[in-house]
Amino acid sequence: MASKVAAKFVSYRVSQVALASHYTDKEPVVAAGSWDEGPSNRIQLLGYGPKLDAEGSPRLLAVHRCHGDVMCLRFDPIYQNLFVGLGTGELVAMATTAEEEPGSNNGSGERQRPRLLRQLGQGWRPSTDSFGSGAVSALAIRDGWHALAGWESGRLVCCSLAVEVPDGGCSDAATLRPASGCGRESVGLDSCCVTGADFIDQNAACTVNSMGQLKLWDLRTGLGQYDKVLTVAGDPKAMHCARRHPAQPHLVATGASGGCLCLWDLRQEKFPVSIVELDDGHVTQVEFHPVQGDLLFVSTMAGQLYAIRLSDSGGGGSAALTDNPHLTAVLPASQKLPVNSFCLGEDFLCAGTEDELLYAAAGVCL
Amino acid sequence: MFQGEAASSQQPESSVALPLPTVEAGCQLGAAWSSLGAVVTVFKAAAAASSRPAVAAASSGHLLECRWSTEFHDCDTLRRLAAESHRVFLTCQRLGDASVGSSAETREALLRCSKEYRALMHDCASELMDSAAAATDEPEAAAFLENQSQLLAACQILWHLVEILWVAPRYQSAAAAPQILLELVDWARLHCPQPDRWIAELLESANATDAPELHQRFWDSLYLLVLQGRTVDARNLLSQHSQAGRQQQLKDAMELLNMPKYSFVRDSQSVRKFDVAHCLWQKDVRVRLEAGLFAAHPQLELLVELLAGDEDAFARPEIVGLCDSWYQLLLARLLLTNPTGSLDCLGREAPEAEALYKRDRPSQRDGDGDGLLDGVLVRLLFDGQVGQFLAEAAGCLGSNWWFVAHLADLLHHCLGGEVGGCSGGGFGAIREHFLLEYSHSMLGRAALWQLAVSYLDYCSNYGRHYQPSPHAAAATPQEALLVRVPPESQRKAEQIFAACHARGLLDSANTVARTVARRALDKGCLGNALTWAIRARDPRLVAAIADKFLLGAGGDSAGLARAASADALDCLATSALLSNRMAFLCQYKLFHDRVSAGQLAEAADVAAQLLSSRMIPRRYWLSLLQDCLPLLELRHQAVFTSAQLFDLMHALAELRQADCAPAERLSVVQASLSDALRRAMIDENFHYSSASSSLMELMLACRFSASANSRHRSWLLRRVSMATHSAGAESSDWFRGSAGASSRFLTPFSSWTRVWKLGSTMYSMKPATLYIDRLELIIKSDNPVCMDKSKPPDTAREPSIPAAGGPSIPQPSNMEVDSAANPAETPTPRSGASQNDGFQVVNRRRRDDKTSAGSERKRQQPDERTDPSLDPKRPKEANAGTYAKVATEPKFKICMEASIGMIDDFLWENDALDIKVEAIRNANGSVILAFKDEAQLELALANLVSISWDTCTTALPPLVVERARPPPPCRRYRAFYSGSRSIEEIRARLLSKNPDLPQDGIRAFKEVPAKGAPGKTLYMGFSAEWEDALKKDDFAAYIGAWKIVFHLLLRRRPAGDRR
Repeated sequence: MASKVAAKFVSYRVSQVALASHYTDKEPVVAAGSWDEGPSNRIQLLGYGPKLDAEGSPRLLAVHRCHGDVMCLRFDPIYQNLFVGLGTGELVAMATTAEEEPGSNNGSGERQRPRLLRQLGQGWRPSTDSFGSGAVSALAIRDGWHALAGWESGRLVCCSLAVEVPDGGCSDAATLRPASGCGRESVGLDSCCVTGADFIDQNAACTVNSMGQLKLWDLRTGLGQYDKVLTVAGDPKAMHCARRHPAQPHLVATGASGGCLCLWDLRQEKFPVSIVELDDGHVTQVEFHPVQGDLLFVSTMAGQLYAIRLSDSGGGGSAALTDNPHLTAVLPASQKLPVNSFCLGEDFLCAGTEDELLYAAAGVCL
Repeated sequence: MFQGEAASSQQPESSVALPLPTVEAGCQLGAAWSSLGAVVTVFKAAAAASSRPAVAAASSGHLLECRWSTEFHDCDTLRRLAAESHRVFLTCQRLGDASVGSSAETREALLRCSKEYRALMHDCASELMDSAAAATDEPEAAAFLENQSQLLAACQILWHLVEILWVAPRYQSAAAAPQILLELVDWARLHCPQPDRWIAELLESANATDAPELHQRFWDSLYLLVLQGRTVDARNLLSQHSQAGRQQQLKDAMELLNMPKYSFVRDSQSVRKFDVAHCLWQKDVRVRLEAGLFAAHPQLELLVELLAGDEDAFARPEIVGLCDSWYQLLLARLLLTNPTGSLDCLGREAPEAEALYKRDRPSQRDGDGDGLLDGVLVRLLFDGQVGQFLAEAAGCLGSNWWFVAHLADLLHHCLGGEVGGCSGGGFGAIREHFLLEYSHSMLGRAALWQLAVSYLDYCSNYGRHYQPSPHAAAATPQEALLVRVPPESQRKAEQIFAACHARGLLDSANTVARTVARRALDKGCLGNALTWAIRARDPRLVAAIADKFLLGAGGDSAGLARAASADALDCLATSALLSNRMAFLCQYKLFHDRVSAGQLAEAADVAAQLLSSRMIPRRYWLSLLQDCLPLLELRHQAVFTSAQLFDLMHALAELRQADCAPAERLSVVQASLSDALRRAMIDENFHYSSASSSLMELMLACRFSASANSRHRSWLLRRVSMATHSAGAESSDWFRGSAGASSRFLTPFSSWTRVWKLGSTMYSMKPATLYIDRLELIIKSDNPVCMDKSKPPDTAREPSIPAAGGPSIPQPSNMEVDSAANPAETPTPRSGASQNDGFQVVNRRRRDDKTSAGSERKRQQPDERTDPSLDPKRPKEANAGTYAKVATEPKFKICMEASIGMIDDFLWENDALDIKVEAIRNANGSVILAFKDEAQLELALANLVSISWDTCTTALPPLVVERARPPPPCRRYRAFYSGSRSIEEIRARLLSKNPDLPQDGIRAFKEVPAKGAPGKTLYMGFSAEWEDALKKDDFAAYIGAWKIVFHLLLRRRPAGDRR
């Protein structure tokens, strides 16, 4: 599958990884967050060399200590701010800046790699109710400013990053707050833990929850009431992730318990287009390849990361999963503990595992 | 909050001072273990000692968290060691699963694993040393890192030795002994880099001076190189001597340094060839030495003596002093004196070498060295005591179980259980003990629970479940560990739950799910709580969550709708069946969803099912009924069917009876229900035969409408009369819907009333061999019943009450008119009688002669008083039924219960009431139930409310009602009897039983022609006692009837019975 796979032990359980898409795949920059480490929780910025040179070992660019588990991690695609959802329920925005190292030669005109990770303003959390909202459990970013975050309590908030540039020109005065222009109601409530979220387009978003529901939200009317709910027939299976197709926004892939991978056509009424049972482990994340939309990557709690080629058998020219899709393993078979998260570039893949490994794979296009 | 790190891997027994700032002398301290172990929370207890640590700690304000075995938690390098070695460990398990110490390939693979372990240790030791060097600002941290680095380096040395001796696959080969010796010498050299450092210094100084031999370490380096078998290096160094090209001794010595080298080939010849070559070479050395060629050069002579294997030379203090350890000396001696000897020599000569080594080091005793490498462990290895070696190593390393656990596991896979020095269960037990301890040591940090659980996977005896074990006293099996990992977040809970499931620990998985559900419930996250409760398959928890939903509802309609609006209830599917409450909530939500979606008929169906199934708590009945009001009041559309409306009416009636809802609200619902029922019946062109118990429900509706709308009531009563009128003709249709193994059928009482009075319809059982468990008749009457026949009622008669029987009595067309026109005249003989307005219609119809309908009826029935049974002059027994409202309990219910048996075997009789039900086998094989009531006038006015039965057959509809023949003109034909006894005999018997029985009653029986079938003999059983156990939820209770149970006694068949 991948032309080269490198692994690096990072001495913390990798909870989330995110790829800074601003940088090219030749020298990718990855953010990795830890969990379950108590006061030692951290976010690291790691830079990989071109073609995973130098034994594939990443270079540590920056470290930021966190006060809680890193539950969600997302780069915004435009400004490369890093949005972090913490186990404490706090949503934090961080800026990655490329401060020049003394004596370094950066006159080549190439974009500098970030050297610093600093928090922008104060973190934001939903207004405290009597019991708290639990950890941030889902996060999606749109157009650099807006974030759709879900909490374990079912709270759903559309936030915006408001940058206030005073006279002094200090850009650190950015704060997260519920988006005022995001619709009438920027705060919603799902019935249970929101486990995954993604923007469908400018005005729509989808979320999945632990009851096994895929909900569509019309952001123009706000988050007060969902627009549509889709479920898998039978007993509920908790969904853990959702991602929309990069080119066909009506296609959404979700992963659920029991290795259940579903492909939904949002134009359909209620049920998924395709359902595939992968293995015993829960699906922890699904991602479409950003360029090859018929390539779907799936990680599981059984320690697998598969690449699946979609077929064109779906109605309306949309892709679908065959009954027995060919699963191409990306990681070595020795991986047994859960793959918690992975991020995908055009030709680069990075995966973080429960046994403190950070895999990097080059040449992931089939 | 303070956090104290009491880590001491080397000396766990040492005392640690806890920095509790507010503790003064004499105060009490408390301690609590953490859930995972390796952590103790110490706190200052309050003066009044509390049994709960948290309470006590809160009173003092300080908690001190004491952890130990934390080296793997706080040092990134050691975390990497733990994580990376885990993967090698898993590889070993895969290899071990294939075969234990069998094939060479497996052994080679295990050797690679061993080398991976060593490389990892070496890498981590180097990294730790670098970190220690970098941590100049923190001397304590630097010391810790350096200490750990040295420990790992020492571990690596020992591991290497074990690898050479036990892991390498050539261990079994005899030809491998010289090779192993060479490797041991190399091992000693690798871990003693002293000569290389000296040579480097020497060469640097040689640049300044032209005579390196004058350097103090020149000859020491030469000797060490020879002791390490590095004769080539020694020759090269000797060639640096300033006189190397000029002195013959030096040339000779350099020539002698061409010592034969053994190369391992898998045959015994290679050993023999090497042995010969070595002997020849050493003989040449000795010859030259004895010739005194080197006598003038003592340092050179000592070198040659070493080459010659001279024992005295090895004992020279300057040689012994060069060695860092006794085993270095031992290996050098073996290399130069007996290079082809077996490995047994290691253990045999070790004591001598050790004694020699310690001779010049009087201060060094056993255990005084650096712990691991002081020689004790190496000697155990040389002696082949691997098990003992591991035990000693575990003792030396204290709480660091990493080394012994992985090494024991590797040796287990290489050697199986055939290892020396093992006791108490073999090598596998020691390995498992170390693995248990190692996994337990990782629990001090929650982040390592996955690794700990993974190691426990391979502890087959004590890893999964609790087992009494001398080795695993401190270990925590998976089933206990997984439920103790704190599920701080949903995601972590998912992982713990999945880990439990992957290992088949379903109880633990349920426990975890239950824990998470309860936490979520406490936080008020009902959706999450429900999700996890369903996973735990815990009906009680699901019910508790449903209660929470309902508690939030508050009992009103809006609250209930709000509770059901949680879309978590949407996709419960079969999980909703875990609890009745939850099922109700889901159905209630379904009702609302369907209403919202405009599926009104489906919504009505759901509501009717909810109310008829009694699944819904009673306090929500009114809410649901009120939710139905918009549907009921739809004028243009009949959403509910009449059958569904009857269900709603039943529920409302029950609510009214329970008196648990405001009467005004009930009235509103009742009015809507009546109206909707009228419309539904019109829409359906209602006919009683379309539904099984429709007639009775009609009567129920009448009763409802009595207080709601007189117009509706009239309409309904008209329907009732129509149904009653044609009951005989089509009654068989009613019963066909009641087939089943245990069918309970409630027939319309009015039709039975008619039968009761007319005796015109036969009720037959098919098949004839039907066995019944129970037959129950419910009879109701508003008339007085004289329970004590010796004391007839003495109150005034009710002359308007009709006589029993008579073909002209039922005139339904008048009934509703009478009742509707005079509702106020409804007699209320006792409190609660108003509930039975609908039932009293028939009995009151004579009282309304003044009405037009009454006149019409009067025209059809000229004179009731002409009926002899109503003649006041008749005997009082015959006129018992004419006594009205004389008894204080005018209503009763008769339940006749039969034991198991054929239905045609019995005659049921209530002795007290003189009610007789006879089961007769008909000529065509069916069984007839006949009611012999003719003689009992006081019962003639009673209404047979219902008949129900339980059968134990699964045949066709067991009871069919067939209209055998047209209603007889004479009311005396009450039943048809086919038997061998004559009617006179029966009559005589009845008379003997009740001498006061009038002859008219006996005439009621007539023998039916048997048409070839043999005659039947009736055997009768008589009840012994009455039972008055009225149940509130019973239908009889609803109508205000009595319950009287007859226990039937089987009577033995007389001899000669031919059936």
